[in-house]
Amino acid sequence: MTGTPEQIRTVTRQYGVVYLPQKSASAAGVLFAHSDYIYLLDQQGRVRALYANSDSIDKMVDGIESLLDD
Amino acid sequence: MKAMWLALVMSVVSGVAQADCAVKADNGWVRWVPPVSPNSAAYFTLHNGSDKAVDVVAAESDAARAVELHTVVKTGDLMQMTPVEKVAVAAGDKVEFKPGSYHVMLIDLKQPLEKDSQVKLTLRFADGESLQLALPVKDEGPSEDHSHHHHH
Repeated sequence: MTGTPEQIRTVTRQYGVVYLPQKSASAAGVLFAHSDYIYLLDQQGRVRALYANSDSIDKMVDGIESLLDD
Repeated sequence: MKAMWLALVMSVVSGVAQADCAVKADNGWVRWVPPVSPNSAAYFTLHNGSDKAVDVVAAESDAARAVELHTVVKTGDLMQMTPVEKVAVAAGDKVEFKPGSYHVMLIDLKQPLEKDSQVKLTLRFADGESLQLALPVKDEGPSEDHSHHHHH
């Protein structure tokens, strides 16, 4: 994700994303610790489910299918 | 012409050029990223066939202006990528460099990555050995989520 700091703040607030700059010597510049969820949105753009990175594909497919049946 | 054909076949079959090194690599790939992304990452599995532990201490590539060993640390709900000084591979053991874990960061790519092209990478070990790899640029790794096919 990229944009101006203000654009990033707006989006992270909308989705409740936490991000914290970390000290590091990386050539990549400032590295961020950040929350790490996958968001399932419905057709109105509302957040309907949060998945962890470790959640199974099957669990996400089930969530998507239940929204399609709405 | 014949030699060139043979070299092509060999590079396709192995995907990786193996030097005379106690450590071998397989399942190597570099993540394709859109041209706007300055960074990417390289992944592979290292197998230490020797009876001594080895430490990967550095990586080099002409594809990027800086190359670093990184890992991903998860603390509570936060995840964080962080550089590491070395990655140890125990005797007779293997270590996977994969998304969400150890990886080689390619920082400030010199030119956009082309799908199915190859990125050359050199791994340096603490004992002075090195391993040359030629990794294909792909959207995803060789065996991510094979067990998750969902049928109806």
